[in-house]
Amino acid sequence: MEIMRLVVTGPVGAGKSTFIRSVSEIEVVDTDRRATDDTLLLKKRTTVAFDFGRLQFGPDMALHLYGTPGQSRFDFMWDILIQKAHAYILLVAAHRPHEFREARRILTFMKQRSPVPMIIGLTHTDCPGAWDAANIALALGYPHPARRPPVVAINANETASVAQAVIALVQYTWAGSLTPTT
Amino acid sequence: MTVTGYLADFSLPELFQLLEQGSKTGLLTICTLNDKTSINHHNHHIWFSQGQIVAAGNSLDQQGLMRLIAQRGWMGDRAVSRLAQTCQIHTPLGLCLKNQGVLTAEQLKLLFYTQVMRQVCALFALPDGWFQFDPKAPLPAAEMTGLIATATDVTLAGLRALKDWAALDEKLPDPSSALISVVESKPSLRLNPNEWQVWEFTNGTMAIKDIAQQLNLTVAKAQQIAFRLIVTGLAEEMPIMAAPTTSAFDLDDSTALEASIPGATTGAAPVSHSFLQNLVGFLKGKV
Amino acid sequence: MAISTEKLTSILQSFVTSTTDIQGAAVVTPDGLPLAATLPGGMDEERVSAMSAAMLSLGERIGSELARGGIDRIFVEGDKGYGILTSCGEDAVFLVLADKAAKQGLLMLEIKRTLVDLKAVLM
Repeated sequence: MEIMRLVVTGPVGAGKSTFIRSVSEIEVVDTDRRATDDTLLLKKRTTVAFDFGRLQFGPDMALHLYGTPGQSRFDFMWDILIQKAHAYILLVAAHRPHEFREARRILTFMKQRSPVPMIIGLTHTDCPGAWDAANIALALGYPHPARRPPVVAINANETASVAQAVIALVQYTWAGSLTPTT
Repeated sequence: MTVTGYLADFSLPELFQLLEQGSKTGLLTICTLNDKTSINHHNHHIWFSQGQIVAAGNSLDQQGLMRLIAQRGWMGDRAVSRLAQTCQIHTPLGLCLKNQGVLTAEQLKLLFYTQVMRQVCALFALPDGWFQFDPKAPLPAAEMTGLIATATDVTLAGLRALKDWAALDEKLPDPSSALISVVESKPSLRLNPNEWQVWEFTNGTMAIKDIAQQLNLTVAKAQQIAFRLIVTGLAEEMPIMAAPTTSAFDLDDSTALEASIPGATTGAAPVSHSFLQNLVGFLKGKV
Repeated sequence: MAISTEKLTSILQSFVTSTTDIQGAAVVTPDGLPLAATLPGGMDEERVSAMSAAMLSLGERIGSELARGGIDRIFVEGDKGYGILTSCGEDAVFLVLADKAAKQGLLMLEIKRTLVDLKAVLM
């Protein structure tokens, strides 16, 4: 069995669990609990260990998706999940500049622990006050447009949109291991 | 594209860093919210050119610099505006007056200091405000001295002088986080002794609270210095997973700690190209 | 009614001090925030809480998905000691850290008794 493991990370409420639910073919293994902290301002439940989703696309081929908890008190889970990942996507809510710094902290943590390819997924890009991709990339610490990972807009509720993002991530991973085809 | 938001969400030092790193040109406007202390000035304007600050003021009437000159008593309002009319379009007023021999280089520096450094530095203490960056706004030659300051320099100066950090409290790095350098060589910024000391610890292993202890600083002070290093693009905050101290567990070996060291585990086994090809093909069916 | 953290803490303290071979205990929310804790020096309350919540949620998931039913406790046995997680009603998780020398039967009994006290405060 050949398995590719993708990690979906990002601050609280960026849409990680929704992302995985939208694309998984099995019922997602979630470990959410009722939130009792500031998270409550955003949503009722929050992931405490990880979310797990799977796409089986051949008799011996599967994609595994792991969603991390958002709060940094679960950084031991970030560590466990990223160690075995082939690639990851950092989800950021484009209309909450408040969380860009937290996204940046997560990114620094991940980068230090794993050199695998990553892309940035922007959710809520159609909300009022949403920033554009170029400025979010800047806010996340990528001053050079030529040297930043791909940034894609995602509607985490739509299977097609999430599939598109996973394609972007897989192709980017591919490009890194191969000479680019396009 | 226009960038808008609230300073409580995205602080002024972060905003300056973004505008500098993005080499932005345009006008940053900050509207203070319910600020009873400054009844007259609800809007602050800062003009950027290629990520550097070229002028600041609290009105858009193009008269701010002239008023400053008049306040100094160097020249009357009318005299300045008459001279200004002879200036070439797009030439900063200050530079033009200097070229005409009306103002000295020293006077220009003083004007710039008053107009930019003093006004902008005061904004770091704002508890909140709504901001908008308009990249289409033209540069106001009449407000410009011709001198520039990097956003980084203004941030450093402003944050060093900042007494009340309440407005930025939530933005400060966590005391249990470490700092990791993001520049390859020694920073070219002129750091003060404390900043240098903290800089020496930007290796991603020591928590800010421990750095504070090591350097005999309060934790708050160390957080503030760390924040300065972060927003000036020298370091990043990195959460570290606290390893339990040996006293609690009586660990006689260090094997338990090694597991949390990055790179200690092997990572994922690579997948084949045919796998990736199949996966992409499969996903395309879902789009 | 507000939960009395003093009461919780005092229950934990008497539990830790009165039972031999117990090194620490904590009561945390299911989403990983500390409610009360008496831990060995150097252990961070926040981390301990987050880990307890993650572990219990995974355990409960194993219980349901792998048809083991409701989870009474999660037992981590290391060569230096035990970590035992017990669900403490809907709103709390009880973590106990014990020395390797601890007698398991006694430990379970003590945990069961303390749970009753904790639940009374949490009600």
